[in-house]
Amino acid sequence: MKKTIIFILLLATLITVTPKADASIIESAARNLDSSLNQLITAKDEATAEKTLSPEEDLAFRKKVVNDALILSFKEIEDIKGKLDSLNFEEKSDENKVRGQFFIDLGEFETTYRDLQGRLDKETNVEKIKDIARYAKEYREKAYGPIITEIVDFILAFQTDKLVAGAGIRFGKIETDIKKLERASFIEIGYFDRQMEEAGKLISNAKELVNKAKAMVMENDIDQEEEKGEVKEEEEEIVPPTPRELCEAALIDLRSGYGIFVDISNSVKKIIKI
Amino acid sequence: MDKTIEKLKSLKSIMPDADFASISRSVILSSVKTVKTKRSFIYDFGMSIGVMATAVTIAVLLGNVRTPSAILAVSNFNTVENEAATIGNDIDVVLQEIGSFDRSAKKTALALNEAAGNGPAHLNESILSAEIEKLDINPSAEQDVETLLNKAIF
Repeated sequence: MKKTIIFILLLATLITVTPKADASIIESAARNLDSSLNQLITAKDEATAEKTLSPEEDLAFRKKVVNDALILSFKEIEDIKGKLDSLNFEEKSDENKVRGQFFIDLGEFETTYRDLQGRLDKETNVEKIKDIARYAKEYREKAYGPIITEIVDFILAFQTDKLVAGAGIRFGKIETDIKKLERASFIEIGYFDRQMEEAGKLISNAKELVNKAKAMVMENDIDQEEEKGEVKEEEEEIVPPTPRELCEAALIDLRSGYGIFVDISNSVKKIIKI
Repeated sequence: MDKTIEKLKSLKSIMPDADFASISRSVILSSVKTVKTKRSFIYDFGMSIGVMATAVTIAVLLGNVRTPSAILAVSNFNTVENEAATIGNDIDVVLQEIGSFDRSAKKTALALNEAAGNGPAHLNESILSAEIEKLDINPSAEQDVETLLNKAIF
C-alpha cells in the first residue's frame, strides 16, 4: 500500500515536462552574415584576369556584407536588452542604476548603427561603402565591443547569482527531506551527511565566486575611475580572474552540486526499492 | 352573551393549588430530564465508536503516522532530478552565451574587413578556411572562424 502511494506520486512528478531554452536570436543573423561573406569572397576568388568582378556586383556583395554585419549588431543589442530586462532589481538599487546606464549605451549604439545603415542604403560608390565598412569595424572594436563585454559580464554575474540562490534553496529542501526519511526509519541517521557536506561546499564556493563577480561588475561601472589608480601597482603581475571566468567556475561547481543531489535521489530510490 | 364574557374575565384570576403546581412541575421536569439523558448517551457513544473506528482504520492502513511526510519527501527527490536537468540546461545555455558574443565579434570584424579591403582575392583567409573546412570529413558544429584560421596557420 505504502509503495503504491509512493509510486503514484513519483509517476505524477515524472510527467512534469522540463522546459528548454530557446536558441539565440543572434544565430540566424550570424548565419546570414556568413552567407553574404561567402558570396563576396567566392566572387572575388572566381574573378580572373579575363573575367573580372563587375563594379555593380562588387558594390552589391560588399553592401550586403556590411548590412548583414549591422543586422547582426541589432540582433545582439535586442538580445542583450531582453536579458537585461529579465533581471529583477529593486527600483532604487545600484544594480538598477547600472542597468539604466546600459540601456542608454545600447540606445546610442543602435542610433549609430541605424545612421550607418541609412548611409549604406543610399550609397552607390564602392569606395564609400568600404569607408562605411571600415568605420563600422572600428566602432565595433573601440566603442561597442568593450561596453558589450561589460554588459554581458553584468548579465552573466546576475544570471549565475540566481542559479546559485536556487541551488541554495534546493539544498535546504533536500536536507529537510532527508530528515523526514531518517525519522520514518527509511534511512539511517547521517547516511547522506558526507554527500550533503560536499554539495554544501560546492554551493558555498559557487556563492563566493559569484559574489566576487558581482562586486567586479558593479565596481567596473560605479567606481571605475577611483579603482584604477589604487590597484595598478600591486596587481600588475597577478592577473585577477575576470567576472566571466569567476561565473564559469561557479557554474561548474553548481553542476557538480546538482550531480550530488541526483546521486542522493537515486540512492533514496534504491533504499526504498522503487 | 355579555354575561358569558363577564364569567370568562373572572376566570383570568384562577390560580392552581400550590401542591398541584409543585407536583406537576416536578413530573414535567423529571420526564424531560430522563429522555434527554438517554438520547445524549446513545449519541455520544455512537460518535466515540465512529471516531475510534476511523482512527484505527487510518492507523491500520498507513501503518505508521510518520509515513505520509516520508512519502512526500521521496516525491520531492524526483523534483530534484527534473530541476537538475533544467539547471544543467540553463548552465549550458549561459556557458554557451559567454562565448557567443566573442564569436560574433570576430565574425563581424572579419566580414567588415573583407567588405572594406582590396586584399588578394585568391589568397584570402576566409577562402582558405572554407576550403580547409571541406577537408574535414566530420566538421564540428561549434567550429568557429578562429579555429579554422588556426588550422590554416599551423
